[in-house]
Amino acid sequence: MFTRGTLIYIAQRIVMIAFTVLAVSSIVFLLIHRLPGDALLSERVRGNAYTELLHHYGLDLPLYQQYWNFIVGVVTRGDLGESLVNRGLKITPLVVRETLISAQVGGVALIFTIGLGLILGVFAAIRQNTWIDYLLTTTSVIGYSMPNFVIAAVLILVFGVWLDNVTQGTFFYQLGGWKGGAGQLWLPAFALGFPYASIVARLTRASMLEVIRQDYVRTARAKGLRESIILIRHALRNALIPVITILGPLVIGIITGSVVIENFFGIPGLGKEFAQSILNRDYAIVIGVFTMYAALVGLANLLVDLAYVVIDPRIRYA
Amino acid sequence: MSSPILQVRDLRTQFKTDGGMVRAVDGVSFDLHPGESLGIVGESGSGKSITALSILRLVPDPGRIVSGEVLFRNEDLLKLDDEAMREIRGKDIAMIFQDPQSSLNPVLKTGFQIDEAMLAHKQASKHQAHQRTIELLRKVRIPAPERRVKDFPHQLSGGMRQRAMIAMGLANAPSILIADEPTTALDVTVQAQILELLGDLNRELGTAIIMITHNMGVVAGLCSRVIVMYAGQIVEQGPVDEIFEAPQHPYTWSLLRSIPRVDAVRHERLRSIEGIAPDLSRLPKGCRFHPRCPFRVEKCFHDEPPLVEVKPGQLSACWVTMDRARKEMGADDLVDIRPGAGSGVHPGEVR
Amino acid sequence: MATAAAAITQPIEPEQASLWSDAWRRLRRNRLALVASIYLVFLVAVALVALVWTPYRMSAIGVAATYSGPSPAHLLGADELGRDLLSRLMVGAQVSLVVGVGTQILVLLVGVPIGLLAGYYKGWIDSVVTFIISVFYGIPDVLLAMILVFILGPSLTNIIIAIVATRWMDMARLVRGQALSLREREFIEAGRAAGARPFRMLFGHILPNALGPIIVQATLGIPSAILFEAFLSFLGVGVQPPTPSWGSMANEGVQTIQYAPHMVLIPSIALSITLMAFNFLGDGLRDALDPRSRR
Repeated sequence: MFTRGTLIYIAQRIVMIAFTVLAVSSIVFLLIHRLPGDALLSERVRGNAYTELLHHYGLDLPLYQQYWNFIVGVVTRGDLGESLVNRGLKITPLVVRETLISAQVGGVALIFTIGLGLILGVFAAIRQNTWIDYLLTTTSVIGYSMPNFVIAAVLILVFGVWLDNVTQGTFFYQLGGWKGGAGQLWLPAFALGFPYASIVARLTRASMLEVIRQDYVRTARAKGLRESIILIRHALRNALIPVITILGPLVIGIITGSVVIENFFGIPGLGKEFAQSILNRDYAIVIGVFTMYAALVGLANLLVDLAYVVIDPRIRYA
Repeated sequence: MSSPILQVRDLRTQFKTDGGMVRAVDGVSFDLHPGESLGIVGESGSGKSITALSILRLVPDPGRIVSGEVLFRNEDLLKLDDEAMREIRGKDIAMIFQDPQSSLNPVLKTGFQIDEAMLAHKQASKHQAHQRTIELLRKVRIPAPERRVKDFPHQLSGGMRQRAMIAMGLANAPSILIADEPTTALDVTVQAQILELLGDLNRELGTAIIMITHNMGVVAGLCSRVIVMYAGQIVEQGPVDEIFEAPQHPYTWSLLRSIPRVDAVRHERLRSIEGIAPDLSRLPKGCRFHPRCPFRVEKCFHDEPPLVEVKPGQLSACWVTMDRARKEMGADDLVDIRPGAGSGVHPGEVR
Repeated sequence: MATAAAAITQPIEPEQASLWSDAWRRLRRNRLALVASIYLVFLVAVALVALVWTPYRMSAIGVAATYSGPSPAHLLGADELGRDLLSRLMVGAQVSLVVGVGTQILVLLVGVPIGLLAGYYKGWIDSVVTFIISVFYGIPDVLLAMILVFILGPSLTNIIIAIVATRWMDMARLVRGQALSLREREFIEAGRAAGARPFRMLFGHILPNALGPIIVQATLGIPSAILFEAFLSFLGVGVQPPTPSWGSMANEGVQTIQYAPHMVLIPSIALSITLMAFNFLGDGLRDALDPRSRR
């Protein structure tokens, strides 16, 4: 499946991703460090304590020196620096730990998004121009028109407040009460994925309608295959090819959405950290989290390229 | 003569479009005998492909088979439920299509697509199917079949793809193979090889073949009997030798005149048929061919000619027939074959 | 001779008038788009009325009982400070519309010329634009805009600037693609061969022919900008109090969802319906302008 050319391509892509990540964090670093040093420190200190603090973070150095130290730290030690608010708090381990938590929520959301999107899209396509199709295509617009915090609020209201007796507090709105159990993942993942599930469904529908008119689907039927096999093995696999293209934007969307949803549900992940750091003016963490995001998106785009190879044998990277 | 394996009776297939009802197949009846090779010839839009698709009930939307019977071993396929029909497709009656490039699934291995045809009808275990696929590919003369089964369609040449399609069609040793323009998308040299292959398979395996084509030359090379279709109807039908020797319908006659011939005088212009195929949602009154026919008479403008036996085994739907056109209208010497050229009857003179 | 040359510099273009009237006819037949348009006209009217009149002063505290639900005096109830929610919702509509429409106007002003130049001249300018587009494709642009807003300071203007800074490239990409394909068409080549001025070619001939997709993209850009502002305000880094925004109102409501659910539901519903209306209108415009995209 993976030829030598493909492996070389993967290696090249990983190098490219590394450069993009570096470029992105540089942009953010320079944007932020253009601000005068005292704007970066939230603590209201004066005199010696202030100069000592500036010196501790290297903020008294010229900008190019700060930047150089930052880059050297990132490249050689994977060191994203130290929190500007909580002195001594190292950012890299913090960000890695939070990424693992966010990945659980985001992963479930992604599986849910793609799964639901594909099922609804296929269903609308094979029932084209029936009331089911109209219902699904119309609700999909409603789906991606609802901000994720609205979906989250409605879910909390229904499962956490109105149905609290039934759900026994399982889904109760637990601000800061994250215990990491699987049961807590469902509502945030649903809120996070639902708008994108609608988009996947629309795309799948359009793509399926295109594919089921193809000659090879007629051939499959002429062979006497069962409709379910024709649909899944012959039609859906081909219909997936254009759908994969949006996986990159989808991951970006889920990352973006997680900033709101993790705050909403009190999930101590990367998204919550990002929003809180901005509110706390902890720019060092903002840079660290954003660097992590750039790496995640790069990785997602690489996986998309590989998914093409797996699904479409005509694509080979030489 | 043995009893027919397939009898099509008064088949009508229509497409509902914005421009009205298109009568793509309009009352077609014919028989197919076991082991026979039958050609169905016509221009695009004559209804030949839709006839073939109707037999297997694969007519694409918005087409509907509105009436008729398709008797396979005396059982009407049009009355079967979907599951029973599925069992017939690919097992008893197989079909191969015009463009092997688009007819094979690009994301599945060629060998697997052939295995599938057997597995769908529980004709073999996975292992047996795989072995038989290699045999089939060898039979359709694909070199190194053990390696080719693992190739994806895009890795095969056009001719090889069509051979693989034929192998797929033969996988369950069907009693009928319908080939819809199987050579049109191929190079001329490859066309000849594929036709030879189909002929050999027909003789060796006794598979009856229905060859759908617009090319009289293909029919001459492969078929023993031919049906000529025009505007959704059969206009002529009979043994290939007789029809080529003495076509009775002016449409068949002009089709035969339009075949390029190696023995023709160089620079002699190929004679194509004047006029365009009729709009199937607005068919002319009378004989459907009359607007383009060189030998039309007044009756042709008003009355539809029935398909009747004009010679033993040869049926034709024409009020005039070519025997008369030859004798009375000098058809053989006619160079200019514009509408009405032979008979001199023009629309303005018709009462 | 002179007249012949003049005739050639007027490129013969594909029929335009019938395209637009056909599109208009198709759009009117689309019931969803029609209902959406009516709602949006109503929303604009509400926002305009709110400039001069609201039932209560939007920041007046204690005009109603805190957390009180809908009542005849306060149709949509009140919030945790006893402020009238209807009044706040009306002012919030102004914020949403200004952000949505303002952003797209600026995106058009920036993205269209850059896209036209990149697509028409190709060369280095195209390389630069393509590079920027590809870099932005790989990062969460909304989050970058969030950083920008905070560096610039949270105000309505800065929110708009941040969105434009991270979104103009989508429009530039679209226009670039259109210009790239249109420049190869006969009527453009004919004009170029006859020596028409580049400015005239770009804005007189290429732009009008690319207008359909541009309108659709701009319309669909409005809800995404509104969503972005709501998103920022929900997180507390958007429009600052006392100016109400539907996003910040929803955020306040979330805190009290257990005993005053109307506080979160009302701005949420307003936001969802507005986004939906813009999306239905955008979809309707796309179907009307390019009937082949349907199905």
